[in-house]
Amino acid sequence: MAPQLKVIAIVFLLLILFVITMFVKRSKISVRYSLIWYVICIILIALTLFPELLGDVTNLLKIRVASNMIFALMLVGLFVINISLTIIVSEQKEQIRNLIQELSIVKKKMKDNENKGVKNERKNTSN
Amino acid sequence: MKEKILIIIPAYNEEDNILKTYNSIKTNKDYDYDIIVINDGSTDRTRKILEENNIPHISLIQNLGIGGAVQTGYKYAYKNGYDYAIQFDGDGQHDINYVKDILEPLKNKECNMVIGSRFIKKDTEGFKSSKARRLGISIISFFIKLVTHKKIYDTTSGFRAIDRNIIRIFAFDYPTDYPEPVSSVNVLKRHYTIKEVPVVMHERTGGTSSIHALKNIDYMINVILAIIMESIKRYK
Repeated sequence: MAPQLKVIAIVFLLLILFVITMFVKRSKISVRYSLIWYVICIILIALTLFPELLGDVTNLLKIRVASNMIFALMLVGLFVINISLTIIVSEQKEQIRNLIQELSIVKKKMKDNENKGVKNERKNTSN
Repeated sequence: MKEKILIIIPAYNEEDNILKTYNSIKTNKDYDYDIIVINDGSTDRTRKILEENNIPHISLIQNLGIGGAVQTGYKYAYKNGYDYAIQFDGDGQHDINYVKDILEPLKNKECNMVIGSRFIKKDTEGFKSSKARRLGISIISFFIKLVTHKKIYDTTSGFRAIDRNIIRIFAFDYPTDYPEPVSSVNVLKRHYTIKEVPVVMHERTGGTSSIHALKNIDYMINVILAIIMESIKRYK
């Protein structure tokens, strides 16, 4: 693979790492969800620097140009991150639904207590 | 003016232990602490036991994990103006007799947070956990020292006490994953101080621990990364 492309790929990946780190530093991304970005980027950097690590996979997949392998891996990485995000979003939707329901029930309870209070007041004042 | 002290007991499926633990604190005449049990969405009879025995508690409508549960306790402590808050496990591992030991440095204004440590005196008896777990704890200790320059011996001890400054911080900023080591880093990075005090802990008598196999490499990697990530955060 052309060394220029290797350099561009690695600089790009380091930039991503830097951006993620900045967001974590400012508490815009939580530590928990930053980890998967770190793992994917570090794996990609390692494989770009040392394509030998992939062994025969490139040949087995009949990929002729090594740079295509890197792009393929980046896409896989993005898919992985997207799937994990989809899972997280689904869980959160479930939690929000539950919160809305519980909160609504609490509001009703409070209203009922208020009305009970008002009724008692009226009873007292009428005496 | 008397200082307000709150004992926070996070509990997840502790039907076997919670009443015992609560009574061991309540019947101890040396103390006059407020207690709040945080029922972290237990699926067993924990909630029933809490209600039937009039134990002050907050039942979370969903399970949040130890971090979220304990933070609920800290929010409660903050909103009710407590001077000190103590985290005390609901499984019977912590011993009420050591609460005064972990409170003392706080009352003397020696530091902001005290950790009840199993490993500070070499020859203390009591439950010290498996070899594998101790190795994990010392690795975590190394990384905490690396990012904060402070050596903490018992990095996963949940037996800790904090003062008002830290209550205010934890009420709004408390790590959900691996709370014990990461929160120590949080405190130290904000330039507050931590002291460790020797305590003796008991072996878990009933129920199951929510941390399975500290031997797990995956756990170790995640904790170490979490500690490093926490240490780079910028605090206002």
